[in-house]
Amino acid sequence: MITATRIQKSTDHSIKLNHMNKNMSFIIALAVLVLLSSCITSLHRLTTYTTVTTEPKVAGNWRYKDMQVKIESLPTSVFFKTIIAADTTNLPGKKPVFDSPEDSLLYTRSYVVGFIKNDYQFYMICSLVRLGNVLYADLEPVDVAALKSTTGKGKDADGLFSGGSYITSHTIAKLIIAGNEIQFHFLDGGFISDQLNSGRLAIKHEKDDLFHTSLITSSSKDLQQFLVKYGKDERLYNKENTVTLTKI
Amino acid sequence: MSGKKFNENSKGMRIIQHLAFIVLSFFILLHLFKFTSPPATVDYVYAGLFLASILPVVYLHLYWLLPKLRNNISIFYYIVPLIFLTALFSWMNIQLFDRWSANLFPGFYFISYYTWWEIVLFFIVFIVITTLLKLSKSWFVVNQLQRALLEKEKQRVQQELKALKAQINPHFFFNTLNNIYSMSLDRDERLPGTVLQLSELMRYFLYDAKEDYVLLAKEIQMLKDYLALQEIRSNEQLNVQMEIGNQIGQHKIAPLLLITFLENAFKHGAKGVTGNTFINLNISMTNNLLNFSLENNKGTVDIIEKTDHEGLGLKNVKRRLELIYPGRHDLLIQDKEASFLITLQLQL
Repeated sequence: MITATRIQKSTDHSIKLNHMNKNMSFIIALAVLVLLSSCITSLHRLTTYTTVTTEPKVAGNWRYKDMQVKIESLPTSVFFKTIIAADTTNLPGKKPVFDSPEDSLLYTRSYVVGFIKNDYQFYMICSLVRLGNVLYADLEPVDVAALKSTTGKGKDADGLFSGGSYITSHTIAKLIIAGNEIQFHFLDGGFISDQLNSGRLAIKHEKDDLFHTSLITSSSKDLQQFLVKYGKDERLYNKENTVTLTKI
Repeated sequence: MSGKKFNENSKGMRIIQHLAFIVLSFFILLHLFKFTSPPATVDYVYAGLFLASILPVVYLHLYWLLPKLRNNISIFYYIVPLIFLTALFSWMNIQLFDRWSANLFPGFYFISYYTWWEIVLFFIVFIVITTLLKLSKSWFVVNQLQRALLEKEKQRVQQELKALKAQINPHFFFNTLNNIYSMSLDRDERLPGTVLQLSELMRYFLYDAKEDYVLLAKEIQMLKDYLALQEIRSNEQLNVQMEIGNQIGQHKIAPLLLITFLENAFKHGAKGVTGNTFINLNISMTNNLLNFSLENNKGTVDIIEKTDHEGLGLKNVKRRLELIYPGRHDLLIQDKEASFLITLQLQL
């Protein structure tokens, strides 16, 4: 079930999705943690509508371990079409899908990453930015839907997906495309947390006591500036959690 | 020796002031830049680097550009280098934080969190504050120098007044002793009384007149004593008219100012006169204004020789009036056909 009906622009041009409750946030957070454990999360998107870029090579069907991953351009994706189709209202004053031209610019140049894990369909929006000749991906979980109902009342993950609002977080990875592979080198949450705790890293952040991690709260501009300066420092990336997708 | 010590202290104080300013600035920047509370190590590095990029501009401005303004150079030669320096060091600040610090501090991770314009504003704020501090410090120095100059001038005036006062005593006593000598030659029986009068005057001269100011009443009493002394000497030839107002009160006056005029009257009027000598003395007070007038007849010498009437005594009193009552006195000496008239108005 697609629960995200509208994509809303926040004050700093990052986006947040309406009508997802905190339970869903929790599930998505879990999903992200399953797939991208030890990653650092950011409150703000790495990309902006002025810096977002496209890379045709990332689109297609990929395999990660025993999982199939589909990456599509967002405007032509099944995910987006489903959102549009789900909104059957035709009332006067009906709001457009995107809140602003800036959002429109950002999302039309973004990708949707879809995969199934443990009978759940996960969707993430992936937007790319090139910083100092290095390609980076910003991954934002936007939807999760149970493929099988356990209650018989619907496929909304046992009633966990009723209405509500929350702010999604972003995960950042360096992208290396080589032959039939795409490598996602995620920023190492452990290393970054250690640097923050030892007072060697100056970046806006909040401590997350629930997961004992940190949430980066720097602006998109600062995140980009940080990666321009330190993006080539291999200590920032978690090699054990590098996700390599192989072209199918 | 003390001057050298003062200079050393001054230099030491200057270094302490600069260090205090740098440390204070550091902690203000640290407070502004910190990401956590209490500040982390990286916050200290960040604030220190930021300050290090500002200080060269601040000191170049204080010790190179600002002194140029003293030489009346065109403002263009001040503003242009200042803009250039600010722009250059702002750019260097950004480069330092966005590039160079990765190599300088490999264990620390930070970027420039400010735009070029914001950094320029930081520079401007520092330049303005340090300029104001420098100017206020200069103002204090100028003020101190002015006070020192005033103190020196005051000391100089005191010394001069002391010297002038010292001139009066021997001058007066020589004149009086000359009179007593004349009386002794004549075996005058009034000599003991004259010596007694003289001792009263000496008491005033030697003790009371040491003060900067004495009661006007005391100064007038001294004039009376002096007149009495002169009357003894002059017999019936001396016609003294003295009018003293009754508003004298507790006003004070610089000692031995008025006696000089009286002494001068006797020196020029009474000396060598065969006929009657007259002296008309009027002293009165109008609020704080002393009105003094003294008229005496001319002596034979004055009429015949027409020499410069203004002797040592008058020059002395004029100088003392200038020093003690600047802008507060009006002295007029009128050389009439048969008399001298001195009028003095003094704001006490």
